[in-house]
Amino acid sequence: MRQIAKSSLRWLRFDWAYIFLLFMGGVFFVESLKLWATTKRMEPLGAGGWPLIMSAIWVAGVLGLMAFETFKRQPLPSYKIDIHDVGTIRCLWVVSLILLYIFIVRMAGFVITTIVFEFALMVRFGGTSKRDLILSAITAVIVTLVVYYCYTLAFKIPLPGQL
Amino acid sequence: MFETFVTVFGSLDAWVYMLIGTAWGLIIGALPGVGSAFAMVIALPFTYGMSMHNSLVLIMSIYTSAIYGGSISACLLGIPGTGGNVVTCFDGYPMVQKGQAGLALGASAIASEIGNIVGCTILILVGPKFVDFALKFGPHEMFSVGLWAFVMSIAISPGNVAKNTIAGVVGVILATIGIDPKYGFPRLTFGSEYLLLGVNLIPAILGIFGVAIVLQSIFEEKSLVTIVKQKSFKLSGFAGLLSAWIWVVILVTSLIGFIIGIVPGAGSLVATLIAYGFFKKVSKHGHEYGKGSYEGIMIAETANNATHPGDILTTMVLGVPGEMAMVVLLGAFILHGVSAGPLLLVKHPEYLQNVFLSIMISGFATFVIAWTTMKGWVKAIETPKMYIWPVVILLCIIGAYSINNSMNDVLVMLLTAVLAFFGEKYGFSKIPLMMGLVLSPIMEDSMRNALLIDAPQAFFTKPISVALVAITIATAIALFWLLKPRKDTSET
Repeated sequence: MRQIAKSSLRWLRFDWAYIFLLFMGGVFFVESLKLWATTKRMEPLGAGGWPLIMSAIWVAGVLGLMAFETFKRQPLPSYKIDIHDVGTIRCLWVVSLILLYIFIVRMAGFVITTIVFEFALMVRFGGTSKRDLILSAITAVIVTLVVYYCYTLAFKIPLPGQL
Repeated sequence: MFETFVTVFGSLDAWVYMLIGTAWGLIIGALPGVGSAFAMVIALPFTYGMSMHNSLVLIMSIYTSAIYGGSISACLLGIPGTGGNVVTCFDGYPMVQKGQAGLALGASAIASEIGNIVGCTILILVGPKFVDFALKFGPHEMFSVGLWAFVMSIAISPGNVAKNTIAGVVGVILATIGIDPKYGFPRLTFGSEYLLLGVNLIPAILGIFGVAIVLQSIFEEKSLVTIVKQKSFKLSGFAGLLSAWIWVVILVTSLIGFIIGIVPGAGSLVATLIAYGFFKKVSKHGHEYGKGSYEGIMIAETANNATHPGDILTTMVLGVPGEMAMVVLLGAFILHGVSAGPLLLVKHPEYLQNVFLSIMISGFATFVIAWTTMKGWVKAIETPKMYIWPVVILLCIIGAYSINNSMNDVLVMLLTAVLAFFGEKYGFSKIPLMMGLVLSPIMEDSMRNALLIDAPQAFFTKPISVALVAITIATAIALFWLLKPRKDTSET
């Protein structure tokens, strides 16, 4: 029985990205439908009509893609996230560093946080030899100070963590 | 025009911004795959403290020189700097491989400048008439124009049409998050107070065109260090202009470029492909195209540069951007509290004149700088990315933060960057995503207004609206077929 179920489900092959997209589209569709139902008396489209049409296209598009890949048995070229891949690790590193920066800059202030942030990124992107480390440190300090003085003195633009 | 020249370029500031913008655009535009939108986005935060005129000078100078900068990497590496430089690769790269780097870069510099001049001249001639025409647009017509641009952005984006449609729709939905503009109902906010403010366009632009490109680059470990060390950089290319035929090619190509540029969403890639395809069939030198042809480069770069004045006109007059760089131009207007639309050029015709002057002057500056200091620019783009990308990320963070002095906008920037980056990995192009974000308010507002005034059938009874809907369908079908990648049968 299990074998039959397994073999009958084998042709159902699609990416997890589609499941995620379908779920998100469904959520937006339901929310828009609720909003449209409560506001349609005020005008034909109401406040939810436009997102309702668009989320319907979203859901239909994802279902169409899934149906195409399933029935044609011809999956479109897709991408698999490999967390061991150097490029993926670098991207995750950058995203994590930006998130950290967002939370720390308020406490530690712009100059110190930015120097550390820039230095960490340069070291991650470049080499870790003594020469690279020194060059990265000098560049991080210069960049931070130039940006700080340009923005605060020349352009009068407030910087994060400065207020 | 002269008054605008005196007002804008009467101060030293404008000249300094023009030179900085030109140099910046050349360097960033020359980085493969980076593009003019990216070069403009990084400079956008710097325009906060400037006058509208100076910020237009800076942004348009970057735009003009980045387009030429894109042809440098297209010729030297075979990797287009911007979408419009794709066709330049067809002949530029083979020419460089034949040892004619100087001719390739010289020809593209000449063609860029001619394309700029012809395109801008047409812009100034037809601009006021186009404004008169645009003033006849009601909500039905505006919706149809928005739809046209949206469909075009899906049609010309690389990859699967269904995936691109979904990407566009995701952009539209993101733009609808927040408070309903008509009745003040919270929409798709899921109870979050922050989402009531909606997704701000500027952090989204910075995320999609700034941080996402950095992520893409560090993911692929691109390197420019090995750039063309063995080539000679003595620029040439004026001799080819002695032929009468080349001037026919240049003028027709410029006209094609400008007309396609006006079409919302079409962009320079479509213009260059159409002009190149047309002359490949018509010209007696057509058989040489793709093998390092001087004429091929001239067509590619003239069409590429002539497209942008038309594109700028549509962006300023209708508020509908034709390509990503124009989204950034709209961002510059928004930052200064200026709304693009038919009334913009009625109230402020000097902005269009400023754009014209900025393109002309910076185009000339680009030509002179490129011609005299090519070796230096090539060296400049060899700067290791380990130093460039951290600075770019920092500028994007500050740019996003500065809009509302809010770290939440930086989070939006990061989220849109991750969405665009992984979306592209899964085959969902970021072009329709961005166009959806930009066009959603225009399309929704006009559709709702149109349905309040008339029955839905009115979309198909008003002449301009019908024409636009018909053109949308026709161009979409034509582009799906024309730009569909063909299987290479020669290998089998």
